[in-house]
Amino acid sequence: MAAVKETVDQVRAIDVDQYKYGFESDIASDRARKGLGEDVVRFISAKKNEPEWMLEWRLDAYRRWLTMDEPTWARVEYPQIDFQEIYYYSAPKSTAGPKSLDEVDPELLKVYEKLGIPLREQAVLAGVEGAKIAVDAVFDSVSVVTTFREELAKKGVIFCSISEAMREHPELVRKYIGSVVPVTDNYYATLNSAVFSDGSFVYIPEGVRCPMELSTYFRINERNTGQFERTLIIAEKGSYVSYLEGCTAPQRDENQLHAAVVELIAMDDAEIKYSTVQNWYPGDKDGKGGIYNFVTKRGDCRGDRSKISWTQVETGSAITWKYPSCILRGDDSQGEFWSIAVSNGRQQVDSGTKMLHLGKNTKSRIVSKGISAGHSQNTYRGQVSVNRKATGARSFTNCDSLLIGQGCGAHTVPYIESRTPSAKVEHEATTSKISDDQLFYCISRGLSAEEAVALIVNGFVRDVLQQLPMEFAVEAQKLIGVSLEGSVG
Amino acid sequence: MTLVPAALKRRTRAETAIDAAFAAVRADLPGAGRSEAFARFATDGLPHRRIEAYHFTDLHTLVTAAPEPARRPSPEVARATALAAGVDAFAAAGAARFVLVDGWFCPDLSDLAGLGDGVSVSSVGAGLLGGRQLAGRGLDGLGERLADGGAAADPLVALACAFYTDGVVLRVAPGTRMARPLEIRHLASGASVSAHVRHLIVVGDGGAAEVLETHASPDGVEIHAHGLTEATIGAGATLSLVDRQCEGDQAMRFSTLAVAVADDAVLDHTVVTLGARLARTQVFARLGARTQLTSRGATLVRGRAHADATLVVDHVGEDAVSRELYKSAVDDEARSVFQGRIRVDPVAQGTDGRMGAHAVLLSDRAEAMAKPELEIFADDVACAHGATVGALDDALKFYLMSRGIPAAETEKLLIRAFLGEVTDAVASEPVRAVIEADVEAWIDGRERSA
Repeated sequence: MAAVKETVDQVRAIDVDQYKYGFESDIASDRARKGLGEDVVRFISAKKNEPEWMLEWRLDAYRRWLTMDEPTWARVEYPQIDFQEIYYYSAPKSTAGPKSLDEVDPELLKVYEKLGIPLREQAVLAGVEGAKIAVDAVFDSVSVVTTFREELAKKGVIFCSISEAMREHPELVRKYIGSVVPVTDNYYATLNSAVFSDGSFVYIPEGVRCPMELSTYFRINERNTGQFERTLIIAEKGSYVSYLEGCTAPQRDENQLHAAVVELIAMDDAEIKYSTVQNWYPGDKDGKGGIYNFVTKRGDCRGDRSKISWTQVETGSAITWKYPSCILRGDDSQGEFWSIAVSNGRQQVDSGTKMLHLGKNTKSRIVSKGISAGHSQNTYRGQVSVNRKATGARSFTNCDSLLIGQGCGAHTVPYIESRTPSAKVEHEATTSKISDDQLFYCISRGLSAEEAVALIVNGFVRDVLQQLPMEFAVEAQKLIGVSLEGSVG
Repeated sequence: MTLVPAALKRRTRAETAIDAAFAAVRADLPGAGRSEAFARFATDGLPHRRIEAYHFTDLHTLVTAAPEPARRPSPEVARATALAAGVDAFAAAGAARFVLVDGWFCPDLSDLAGLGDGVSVSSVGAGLLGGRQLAGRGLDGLGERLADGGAAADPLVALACAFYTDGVVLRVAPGTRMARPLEIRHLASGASVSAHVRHLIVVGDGGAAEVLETHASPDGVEIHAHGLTEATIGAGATLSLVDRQCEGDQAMRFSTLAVAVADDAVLDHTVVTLGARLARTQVFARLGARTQLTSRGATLVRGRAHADATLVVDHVGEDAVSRELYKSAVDDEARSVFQGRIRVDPVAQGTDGRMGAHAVLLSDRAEAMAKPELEIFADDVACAHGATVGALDDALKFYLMSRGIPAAETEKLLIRAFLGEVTDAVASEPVRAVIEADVEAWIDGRERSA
């Protein structure tokens, strides 16, 4: 596919500056006042022309948020966030509902072009037939464009921004929003509930196999803004959807907050595959700047035989605090978590998953590969919990960590709770470094030390990469190599 | 939500009783540092599930009362207790005996002869009366060095430091090998009391020591037994420690072992937990260069018992090897908890750590929780952990039955085999026999209650 090739070439071209998405674009924007208050919540809601119940929902979340404390249990350290120093809403000015791409600010299109994101449908069509991807592009606080909508609509698939969904399909949004991640789930989810500005909405009707990959591309551009998006995916009985998510941000000295909420709902026999390549700006080598990525992602296997699979490649962000989870409610439902978390420089990652087995014969599989280099700290934190009624449940966890260099740390914190004897729960974890033998062998074959490390690391994460859709896998593989640059020698 | 609910901040009945007990006994207890230790406990009270180290063992709700601290038993009571306790299982191991009743040393019941030159055993209580200070944050300042592992900040350690009445001080001179093992035998008079003991074990460079500990109490009585053992193992020295907990079905047992292992030293540790309504066994080990640590545990619980084994292994020297294996058999509505953390300091290159935690659930309402953690700051390491929870394998049962073994017998055989991995590894033959008999008795008891 042309767009991916372009991306790959760009990654290849990187020499000194390891973060290729660090450019800043000068796009006129429309912002809420700095800081947070009920007026800002009302402002956002009004901007979105939201129904009254939504405003109430937001205000309720905001009031509850005021009574909560920031969580401190994760193994991450950062200075106190001043929530009054953030802009909670920022939208590119010219995008009050563009009808077609021609109405979108050309500057904005250029940004996505630079990022290698195919917004022009014909550009995508020029590529390999059958490898189409529909894209919802979210710029700071709003969705700017969603492609391939007509084609999807023919199948009954709804793919649009969540603010649009709230206007066009309020019954669906009202029914499902907050049903997987309750308003008061945690500090950042509550904050998100109050101030979320946009995100994607996907609805796959009964029995439909979504004809193409859906994807959302998030971009933080504006200074001092936080991005609070909300994604809601509903897969009705017997449907299937594969969803991709990518993110970047400009290179800045200050830290920016990203606190998203993603909710997935899978009914009987439905399957949702959710893949993320997270490449927010990680800060410079001394830990200056970078995104705080505090995300709540949760899938609810509500129906019998449903399946939710999370795949994530985490290379960016100064701090990652993210636990994509599955509630295995339906009998015979399945949850999967495939993760690669790469940390370098001063990055801190505390990521993992939760698999809550509630239904009979539910299955979960967790494969986590952590790679730490530089002075980074990389923690896997996961929970497998088997309810008394989840007879015949089965869970397997494999979590491996690789350490590159002496200044970094790799940590594994699994919680295993089994309440029924018929469940079988297994967990294994290893931590090691790249063996000298392997390195020596690769170098003796003419690879440079860096190439050798990249090769070995790619072998280490192979199981997970194979889970990604092909277009993403190539990019992810390159990204891992780039993230580890400068970690050897 | 991270708000601590008001209910957790309120002082519980047990906490109020502990506060009152300390106020009542403080004046009678010699030794400094007690008020400081108690203050460390009192600030936050009994730990609850929001305190990470007590996530699975919420003492705030599990401990509902706090019996009065035990007074020194009269010689008659002590004798009657020893008589009721019956034959000493470790007698066959030829061990010297240090007997405590309700946490107080009873010289008349003890036999401390023949430990050999260079081995000294004395009671903490006698030392306290003689004005010797054993306090501060730890005996001989050991607590200071152990602060990293979290021992010094632990609320149960704080309680033991505030209330301790007696215990053993064992010193083995450098290069000395104990002529016979020392058994520390804890008995309970049957009164519902809280007992607090604190031991100090110092093995000099190149020395070798073997300590066997037995805790026994009658069924049906709520006692709270607190124990803190602080040990230092000198360079190249060896310490073998066996902790056998056979408490009554209403007992609550809280044990902590805090040990510093010097370069090239060896620690071999075994803990068997049987009985007790609530048991929490903590090990904080700090390993120097080229040390070897083996820690193994067998937990057998039934009824509504809750048994927690918590382990913090801190590698602070190069090339140390640690092996931990904990297995639990959980019956009825009981619950077993394992928390193990291997921490590798940036300087501890070449660490080889391996930790296993396995639980078998024998009934529909049995529960097992495990949290094996790796916390690694050095790159040249090989660390791994594994954890499993499940029922006895039906295929194995079927195989044995197809060979003509009755169903009840197959279960016994499989449980024995499951725990065998732990018990078989105990090096001393007579000690192993005692532990195997414990396991056997537990399995038989299971049949009777079924």
